[in-house]
Amino acid sequence: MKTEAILRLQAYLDNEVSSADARQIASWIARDAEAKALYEELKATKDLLNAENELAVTLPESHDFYWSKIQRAIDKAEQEPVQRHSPRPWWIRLLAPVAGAAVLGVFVLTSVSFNGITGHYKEVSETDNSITFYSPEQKMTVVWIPSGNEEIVASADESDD
Amino acid sequence: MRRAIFLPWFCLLMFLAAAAPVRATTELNMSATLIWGTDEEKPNDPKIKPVSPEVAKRLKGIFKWKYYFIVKTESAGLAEKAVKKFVLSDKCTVEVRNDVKTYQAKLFGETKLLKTIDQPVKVGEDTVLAGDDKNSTAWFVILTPVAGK
Repeated sequence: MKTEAILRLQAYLDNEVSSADARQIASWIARDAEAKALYEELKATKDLLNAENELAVTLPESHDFYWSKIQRAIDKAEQEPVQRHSPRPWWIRLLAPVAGAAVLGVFVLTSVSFNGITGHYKEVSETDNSITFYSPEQKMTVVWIPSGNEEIVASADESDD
Repeated sequence: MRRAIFLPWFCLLMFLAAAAPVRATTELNMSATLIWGTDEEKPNDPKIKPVSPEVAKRLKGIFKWKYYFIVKTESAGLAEKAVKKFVLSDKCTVEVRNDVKTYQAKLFGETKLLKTIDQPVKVGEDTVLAGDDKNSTAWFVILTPVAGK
């Protein structure tokens, strides 16, 4: 049986059809055994679920009041400022980025490696591009003069003579 | 009463005792050494000798080269405001001036002034003027203030 036919039977059972349709459907049920069987099954189900067989539930409050209470709760929750939960005190949150930047800066400044030199950076000369380091472990101040002075050692052995 | 009489004399003696070494240390004893750094164990020039293990350890603690050889070393005592030229090679000269609590060093490459520095006089603290050289080698001029006798 087609779905449309089933829906027509259901509408007939619920008195949702016109009188002309009702007569036509009643005639159809009388002629068609399958339609009759389905109609009776639907009718039996409807009878079983009618108001007399349902448990009566009494709401403690009216329908409108119940839903307005929910609406008020939603409105109140939306109006409250969002609280950001942070387990850390404010001063740690304030100092954490500063401390991170300081650690990074110290790491960069104390780990400068240039042309084979590692040490504690002090300064770069703007005039001659020389770089000054200090190594506390070796107790040495190093002034690294960039290339261009290759001839310094070249004739050292001659001067020894 | 007796203690009050001796106290000024005691203070005067202490002041003189403290001042005496200060006057003595106005002279600067300076050692200047030209060193060559390389990754080759044996240099081409057989005359140059490896630096002491202690100096090598200190240099290796800072620089990347594996071996260090002394090209030339010179020492001199400088009176207050005196200037001493340390000729370390034909083309490398260091001029040191004793400014008592500090010293000024001028490094010359050939006759060209490469660098002037002013350093505090601290015995045990060396100053290294250095640069890269040919064939991935490097040169180092180490200035070492030496404790006076």
